Amino acid sequence: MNDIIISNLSKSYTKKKATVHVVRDLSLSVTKGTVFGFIGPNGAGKTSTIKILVGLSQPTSGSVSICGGKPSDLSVRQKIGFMPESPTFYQYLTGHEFLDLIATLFDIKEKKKKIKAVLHDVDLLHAENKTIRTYSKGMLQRLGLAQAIINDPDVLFLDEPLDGLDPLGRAEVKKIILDLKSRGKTIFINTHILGDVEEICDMVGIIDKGILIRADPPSVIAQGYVDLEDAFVHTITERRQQSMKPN
Amino acid sequence: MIRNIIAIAKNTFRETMRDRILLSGLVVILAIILFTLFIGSISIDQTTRIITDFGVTAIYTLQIFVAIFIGSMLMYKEIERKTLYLIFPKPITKTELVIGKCIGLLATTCMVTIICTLFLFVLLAIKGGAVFFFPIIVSMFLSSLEVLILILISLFFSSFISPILAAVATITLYLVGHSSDIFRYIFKTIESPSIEYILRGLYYFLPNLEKFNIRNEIVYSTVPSLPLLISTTIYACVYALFLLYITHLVIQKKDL
Repeated sequence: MNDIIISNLSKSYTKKKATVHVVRDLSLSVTKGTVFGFIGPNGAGKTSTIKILVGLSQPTSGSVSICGGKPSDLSVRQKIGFMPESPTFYQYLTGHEFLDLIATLFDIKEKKKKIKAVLHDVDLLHAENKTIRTYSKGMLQRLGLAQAIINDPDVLFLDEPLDGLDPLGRAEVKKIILDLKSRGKTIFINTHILGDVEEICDMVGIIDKGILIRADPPSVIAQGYVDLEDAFVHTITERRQQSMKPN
Repeated sequence: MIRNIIAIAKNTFRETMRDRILLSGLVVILAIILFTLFIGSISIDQTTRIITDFGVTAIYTLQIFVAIFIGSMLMYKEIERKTLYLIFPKPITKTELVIGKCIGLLATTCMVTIICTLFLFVLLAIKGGAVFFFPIIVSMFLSSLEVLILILISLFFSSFISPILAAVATITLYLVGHSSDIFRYIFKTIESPSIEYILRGLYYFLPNLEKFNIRNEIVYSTVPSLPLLISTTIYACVYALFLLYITHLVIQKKDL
């Protein structure tokens, strides 16, 4: 069963009379209980795709199905968690107050208990009553993850979750992701850090200039190359050379 | 729906009440109200009237500052700093967010109004001006209705233009809204019926903020009649609903 189904998804913007295609005819599906790594260079269309998947942005054409519904459906949103890239928060609230707001939106019962548990999971319990403006980059990332998992989502979308974390923090976040995976959660990750992708993802999709080049298990992609990073670099380079060749 | 609106309102109230700009503004206004003691003391037998006049105007200035400047920043900050990325994927609609923001900021304005008014009452009580208490309360109620309209105007503009432009547009509507007398004068003097028709249309379409201004009357301890207060309240509510509706239309189409 697929928790995420993307069919012929395209997204374009018109800027100064020129149309910029950020996602082109993207189709893929993510099986329930698996971790899908979406990798690509800067500006490849990863964040634009994830924004459509969580309902922040509307596709120009094509469709998206999350847990059998549209991302705009409130019943679907109840089942998903999203951590944006470099999340920004309300600076004058404390970590606990912010999570209280999110827990209220999800109508979570026994909020205090749940907030404490999530803060413990991301190792932020010691800073729960400090205002967010005093948090370090790593603490902000952890709070971003905490708000994404507070509703115990069926499908989790993470945009660069390991960005800005020290090795210890990265290990902790990876542990959380693997724990969620072991509990049957479906996880969609946008990332640049290919070493971590190899470690935690069941499937990897490589995207460049809005086009999905391939989607396979990391071991299959890395076959014939030194590692996944080598495979990624060669795949992108070859694709770009092909597209530059005259027809 | 109500739960989400209350959650956003509570969050906005907390966030804005801790904002250093607001706290600085509050301290300045309290200082100005205290200064009215000195201004009052140099007047001849008009101490309480001077304190009332200056105090009410100072509080009104703070209310307008909060509505226009903090209101203009509110939605823009959410969109530009991408705080909304953490809120919208949750089970909440954009309209609930706008209503929650509006109520939260209105609660902040009411809180600073209450603090300043209580301080003014203390000064008036010391100087024997308790007769002004009720007119001041009525004036604060009406100016809070005006603030509601201004908050919604600034939220409307800040949902699609930068905070500076939103503040300028809100200030422009604020000035036009307080120019109903000028409109009425122009109607009498204008010769072209078509221009008069357009101006009359604008007169009824744009907010008439002078309806909420009784600051000149309260120094004579007079307040508007109850029917007038009720009709003014209904006008503010209807206009607020209209502004809320057009903000809802704009934000629904906005791609984050």
